[in-house]
Amino acid sequence: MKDMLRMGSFLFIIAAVAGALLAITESITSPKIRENYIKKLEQARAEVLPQASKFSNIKPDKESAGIEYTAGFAENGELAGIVVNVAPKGYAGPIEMVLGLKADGSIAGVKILSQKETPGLGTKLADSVFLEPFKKLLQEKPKPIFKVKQDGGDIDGITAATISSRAFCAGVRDAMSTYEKIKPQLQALTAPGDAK
Amino acid sequence: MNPLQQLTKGFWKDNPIFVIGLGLCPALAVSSSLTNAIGMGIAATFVLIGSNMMIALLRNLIPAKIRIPVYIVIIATFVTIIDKLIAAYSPALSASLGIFIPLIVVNCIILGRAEAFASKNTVLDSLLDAIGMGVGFTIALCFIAFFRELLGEGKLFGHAIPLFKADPALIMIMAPGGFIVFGLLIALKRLMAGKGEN
Amino acid sequence: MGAELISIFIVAIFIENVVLSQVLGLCPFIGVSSKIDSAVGMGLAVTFVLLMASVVTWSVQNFILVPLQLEYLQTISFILIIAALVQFVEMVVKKTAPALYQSLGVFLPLITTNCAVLGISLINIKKGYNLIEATVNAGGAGLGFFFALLIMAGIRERLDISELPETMKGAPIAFVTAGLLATAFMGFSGLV
Repeated sequence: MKDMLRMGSFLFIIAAVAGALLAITESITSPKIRENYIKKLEQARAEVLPQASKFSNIKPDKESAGIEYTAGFAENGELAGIVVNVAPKGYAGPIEMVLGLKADGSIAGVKILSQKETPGLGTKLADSVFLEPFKKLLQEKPKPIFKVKQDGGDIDGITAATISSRAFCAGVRDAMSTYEKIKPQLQALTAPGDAK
Repeated sequence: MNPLQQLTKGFWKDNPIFVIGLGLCPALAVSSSLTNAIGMGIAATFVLIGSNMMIALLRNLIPAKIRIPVYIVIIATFVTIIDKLIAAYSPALSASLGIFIPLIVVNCIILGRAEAFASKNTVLDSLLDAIGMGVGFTIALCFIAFFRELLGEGKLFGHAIPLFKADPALIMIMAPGGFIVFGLLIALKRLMAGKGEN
Repeated sequence: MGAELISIFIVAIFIENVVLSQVLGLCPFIGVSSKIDSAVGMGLAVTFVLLMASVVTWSVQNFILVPLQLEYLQTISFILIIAALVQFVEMVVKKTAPALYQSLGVFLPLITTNCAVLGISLINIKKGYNLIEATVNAGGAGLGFFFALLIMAGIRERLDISELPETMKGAPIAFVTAGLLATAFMGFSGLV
């Protein structure tokens, strides 16, 4: 009995000390971790929608049925466009993408946040090899069809990674349809105040 | 064993990965690039030093019957600390190592050293043992990562290497490459140690 | 809903095979794969513990740690839960099913440090699965481990009787074989 008590109290002390140590670590690191997360998010936003300087998150209310997006506003307070996150199904799991769409619905920028595609093949989605021609296409053609060429679209897919390329196109189309759905609400949005 | 031998035994002779065969999962999972290998090595060494010293310090107080849960609590505490520190100060490394940082908890090297060494030796010896094993773990990881990154991506530390850059064998940085490189490296280590006879 | 679950299950068994693709649980994979009998025992034991551990860790995360904002205790509480669970399962099996204990018993203590169990528990949380999805994922991962172990044991029983260079015997050839198996499993990606 005495032995049990001794063991129990020892385990309790160890666990208490461990818990206290972790609480201290948590309080030191958590602001920094949150800051990193926000910085990454802001960086991605600025990259895909360079026209905007202020952003505000639009949380879905019940009527708009679950679409969450970020509205971006230019320096003068006008709506510059929206930023949406999509995750089309790729070759080996979802490809998390963030897209910026200008106020008129044209694409301002695309960034791959995370993916598990085949290294060296599907992963080229995030490379300039794929993204540069894509950007060029956006400039040259006003309304490109976002499908790979084999499927009758305008996108030059990656050789040997058709599924990844298709997923990319599907992501772009997802973002476009999101835009269409929320288009009616866009006029009503106003730039956030100085509170950021 | 003198202090120097205590320190260096883990580097090569009793290398935790190649000789003892402990801690295989991180050895294969995060060894696709040298940067990841070193990051993992440092994280594991930190935990090893912390837990080894703490357990050596408390070795006469810990009741024998509950020593394993106590070791696990101590190890998990250090793992969480390093996990949070990496997430806060090196988010890129944290993203590429992913769940393999919390998985240091079940890395057999750490519990193994706690049970086999730190519970029976002084704090100083345990410190030296931890540094030696940690460095040995890092060396082994870098060794594997060197071949995988060079052959699989034609790069070292993310810098392109002229001759290898042209057409790298991608499979090397994926899971199969890890298994194959590792298998061949243990064979090489055996050949060098002259243990080929048995 | 149903299709989603089936997809999680198939992905967990084949595409993201816990051993051959995620590189988790290697110690038992190499250590216990030299005989088919023990491979079956280990595979079953791991599947069982994985299922239980996933349910318990998921519940602890979502009913205790998150409401109390104690997420930083995740690693420490998960590993303690798994260790306690393994002990508990061992005791129960020993009391209630001596025959089962005879075949599984020796493998149970080894499972605490099997990183597949902690790994899958953490992945369930990271992917934001609900309880049913987490359970299905754990079941799939367990079966994936079981299949990988079984195939490996079958190959290794053959390797035992073949001529090999001395330096390649045992672990080295096992890893190279695992590499080839992993390559074969890569063919499954794109399946779902």
